[in-house]
Amino acid sequence: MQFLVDNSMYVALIVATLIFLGLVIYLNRIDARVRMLEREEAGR
Amino acid sequence: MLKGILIGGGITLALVLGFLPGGISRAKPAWWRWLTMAALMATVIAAFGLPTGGDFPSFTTVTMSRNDEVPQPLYGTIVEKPTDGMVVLEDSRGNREPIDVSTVPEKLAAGERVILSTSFLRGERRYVARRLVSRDPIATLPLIPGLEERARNLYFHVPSAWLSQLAWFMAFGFAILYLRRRRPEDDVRAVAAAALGAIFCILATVTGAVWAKFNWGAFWNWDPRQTSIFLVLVIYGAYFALRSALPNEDQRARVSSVYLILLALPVLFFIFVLPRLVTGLHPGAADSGNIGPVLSPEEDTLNPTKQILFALSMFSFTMLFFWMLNVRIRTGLVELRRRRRMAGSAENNAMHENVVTAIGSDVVRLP
Repeated sequence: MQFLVDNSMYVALIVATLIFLGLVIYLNRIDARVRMLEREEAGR
Repeated sequence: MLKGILIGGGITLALVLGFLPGGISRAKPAWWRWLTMAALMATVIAAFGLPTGGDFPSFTTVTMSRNDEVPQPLYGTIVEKPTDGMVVLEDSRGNREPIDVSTVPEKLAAGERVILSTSFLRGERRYVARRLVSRDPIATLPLIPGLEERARNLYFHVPSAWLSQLAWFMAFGFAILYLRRRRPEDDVRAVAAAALGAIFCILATVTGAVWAKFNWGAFWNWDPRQTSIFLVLVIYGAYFALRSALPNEDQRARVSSVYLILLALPVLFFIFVLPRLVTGLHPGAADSGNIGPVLSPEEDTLNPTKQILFALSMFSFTMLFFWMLNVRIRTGLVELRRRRRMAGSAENNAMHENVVTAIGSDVVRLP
């Protein structure tokens, strides 16, 4: 517990990094999906 | 001057990059997305990873304002080591104080730059280091009395509030374009910008409320800036309520575009003017002496490391906004085109049925 208290900023860093990493990965996936839909439309 | 160049430059670069490669409605190239991801991750890592290191005056202000002896970070160079358990630390302003380091397990040598988590024992009137936070740090954030580690929220709260404004003005621009050209694509762009603006407005409110809880003691204080962001949130909500109340597509686009244009000035007033006219808790209020640490022309309202980090956070969040906006607009345009195709084929089917009814199905079946 004391370890977490002493290193609380690193805990916050890991949590924030994971949140933002998840956000950009999700955004990348949606971007790829929309790109695929646009390609399908163009080839129609 | 440097502050203006850094922060203004970061925002301008993001605005240019948001519009330029391929425009706002076309897929962004891979390098653009990688730049956004790298800038965003760099912001998060720097905002939480850089250690705070205070000098003796700020350390004294922080420890005197508290009733306990919670350790605070002290940053300086070890200039002397009279005994094994004692060092003399010189801070960035040239103040020197002896610090008891007997409980710090790491070996410390003269000439090293260190951040020591230190308590000031009031009864004995001496500094005692509890642990070594960092040795020769690349950069440090200042210890700000009254904010301390909570100051890190600046890099998330302020960009969110900025984006809630930028989004409204982008929606305003698209609304003008819609009223001039009457193209549904512009309405799709306006809705996308407004939806993102509402999300960033909520994020600014939530990050602000959490900050307020730990800084001012309550989640909500009805400070002028809190009141104004609440009003902007209501204005955003009313925009979507208005849209959902109008079933006709053309009428919905027209009326909501007029709403976006009419409310642009009040939104500008609520965010940039009102909080500066009246007294309040936020920096930049009428009684705080300047227009806020970011917009104030005085350089020392924001430490140089914070200026760079703040410029980076404004750049990365604005890029993130443009990426989200780009994806949202493209999704909306794909939907719009699909609806048009479906409406077109439904029209064809209806025409086909009319022909069948008029001349008989046998005739139609003939090659």
